[in-house]
Amino acid sequence: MPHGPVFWQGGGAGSSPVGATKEAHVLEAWVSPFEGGVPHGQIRFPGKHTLVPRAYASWDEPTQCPVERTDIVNRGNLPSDAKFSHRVSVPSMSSHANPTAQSVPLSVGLLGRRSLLGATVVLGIALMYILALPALNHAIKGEGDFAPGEPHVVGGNLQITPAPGWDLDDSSGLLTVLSKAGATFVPTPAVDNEQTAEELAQVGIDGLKADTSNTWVIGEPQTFVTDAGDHGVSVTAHTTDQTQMTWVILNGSRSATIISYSPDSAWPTLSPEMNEMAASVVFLDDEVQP
Amino acid sequence: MTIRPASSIDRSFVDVRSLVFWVMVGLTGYGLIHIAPLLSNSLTQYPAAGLVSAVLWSAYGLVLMLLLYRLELFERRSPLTMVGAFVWGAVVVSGIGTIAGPAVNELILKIGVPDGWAAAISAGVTEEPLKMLGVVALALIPRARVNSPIDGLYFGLIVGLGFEVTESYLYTVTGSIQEGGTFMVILLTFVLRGIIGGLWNHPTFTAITGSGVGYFFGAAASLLRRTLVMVGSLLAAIALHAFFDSPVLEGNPLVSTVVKGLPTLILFIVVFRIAQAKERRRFARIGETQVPRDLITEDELTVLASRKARRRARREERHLSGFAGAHAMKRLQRTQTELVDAMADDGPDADRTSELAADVREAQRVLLETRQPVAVPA
Repeated sequence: MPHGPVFWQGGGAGSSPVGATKEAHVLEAWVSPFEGGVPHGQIRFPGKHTLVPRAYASWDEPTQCPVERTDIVNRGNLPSDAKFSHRVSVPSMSSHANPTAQSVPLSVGLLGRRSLLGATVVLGIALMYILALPALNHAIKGEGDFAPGEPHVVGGNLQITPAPGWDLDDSSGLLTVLSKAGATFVPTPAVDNEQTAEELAQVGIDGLKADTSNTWVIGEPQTFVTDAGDHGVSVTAHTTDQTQMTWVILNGSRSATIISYSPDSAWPTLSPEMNEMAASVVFLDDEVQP
Repeated sequence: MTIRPASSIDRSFVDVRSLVFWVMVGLTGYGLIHIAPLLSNSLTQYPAAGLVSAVLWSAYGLVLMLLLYRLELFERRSPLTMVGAFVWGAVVVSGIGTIAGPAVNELILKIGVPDGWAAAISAGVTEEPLKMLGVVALALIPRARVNSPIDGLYFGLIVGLGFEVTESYLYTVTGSIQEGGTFMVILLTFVLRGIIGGLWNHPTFTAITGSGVGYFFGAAASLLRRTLVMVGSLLAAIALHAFFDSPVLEGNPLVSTVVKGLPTLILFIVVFRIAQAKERRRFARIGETQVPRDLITEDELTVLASRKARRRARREERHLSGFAGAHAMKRLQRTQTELVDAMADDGPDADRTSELAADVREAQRVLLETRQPVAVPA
């Protein structure tokens, strides 16, 4: 017995092994070993038509070709009057063959298909992340959600305007902690101070350099001006998976410090919002009860 | 009448008849809309720093892609499909991630998970399924040829690499902008994220899930078994990702990265070896049963099955007949490998198979010529 591919030579509808249509002539079919000994094959028609077996038979010996029966289903654009599913009988090539029906690998079943179901699944999962999860998050209101644009008073003498989506995690005593997407933003109340913003920033840098539990890549201090016109300095430091940003803002003889920590996956998106919040800081002349 | 099989017409994922292809195109557009402002912001504020970061991370992605392409043992996959996989990770996952990431994180926080863990879990829960979806989308397009665990692993690596490059680029540029566009920050961040933490991060996570996808689409096992393998690989990747980002073992970044990356690396090696062994068996079976022995002998099939044996054969050929012989041997090995691949994918009567059979004969002839003894003048 020859080993390797099994060929079916076909002619017109009458003589083709799949009993195909008047328009479609079976030219050939071949079966080749597939993973796990499962034959893999297709039947090609003139043009772009392709038929693939819907069920397969296993073979024990690669040199035997025990394909006896299989279903052939249309995966192409055969004419609408074509009969798409037929039983095919191929003479057994080995008396020792012991075919067992097995499922077709999905990759074979997809041949020639436009995959409406697959496209729907891919789009559906993407939309779940784009629309459904943000909508669910929006619907479940957290305890500390702010109204959009609503200013928040820190320690009675500092006001900050949280960006959309930031929640108030903790506002007990003098500590205020805002959070979003794993990042925390901690403004401290204004305190009397005689140092410059650069000197205060340097204190923070020295603290990071002295941190033996982490290796920080520390950037150069950058100056900025708040919306209220106060002078400030910011410093950014990175580890492999998180970023710390520090803003020091001076207002006359008073200063305020803000520290944030972000996971690196969220930081590029949140960084502009945190800069905006730092720039929104306003020093209050009169003590306000939070 | 000669029929040219589709497989030899185009082996890339670009199939305008496939609805999945158009969904991929649409989602790429959506991702671009969300990523483009972040990219343009960096380039307009600090053009030099933005450009340097872009060049650095693009080169990183390109070099690793070329390396992966060169390391393929049995099949040279379509470069266009590789680009498609890269774009999915770089644009689609990054773009959707900017919307979904914060939402998922807040949802996890709202159910009471502590801050550090919420960030770690949300990154895994958001990014891993989205990256895996890219491999699934490719597998749904038959031309992309994702029909074995090694195919899924390969394209998973590339999807993960794409995401890694965009995430790291944005991170580098944002850091640089924050610090006035300094090049030192760019360089240090590149070393930190690209060299120390990059390689056993996103690409390896997605390679693990990709192998599960490849098994789901390529194996003839029951639906339950295939689903369990695919979902299991996804859950493993999410768990490894969450562990990698978790607040445990914080401290020295090198030690932390190595210790946290080790489980990922071990699992990746195990999955890779299993997937490659399956591919090797499939290659051997097709070579043995379908390729005539005058085109590939039994011994040659054994040599083709491993990179080491191929190298050894070329080395021996170099000793025998010089560099020309080694070159001819390399060409013969490449064409024989492609012939087995064509036999499996396109069938024995396809144009590509016939052409490759002719190429093998030509390569055999050239190799024999190089072995002819050189006439020594008297």
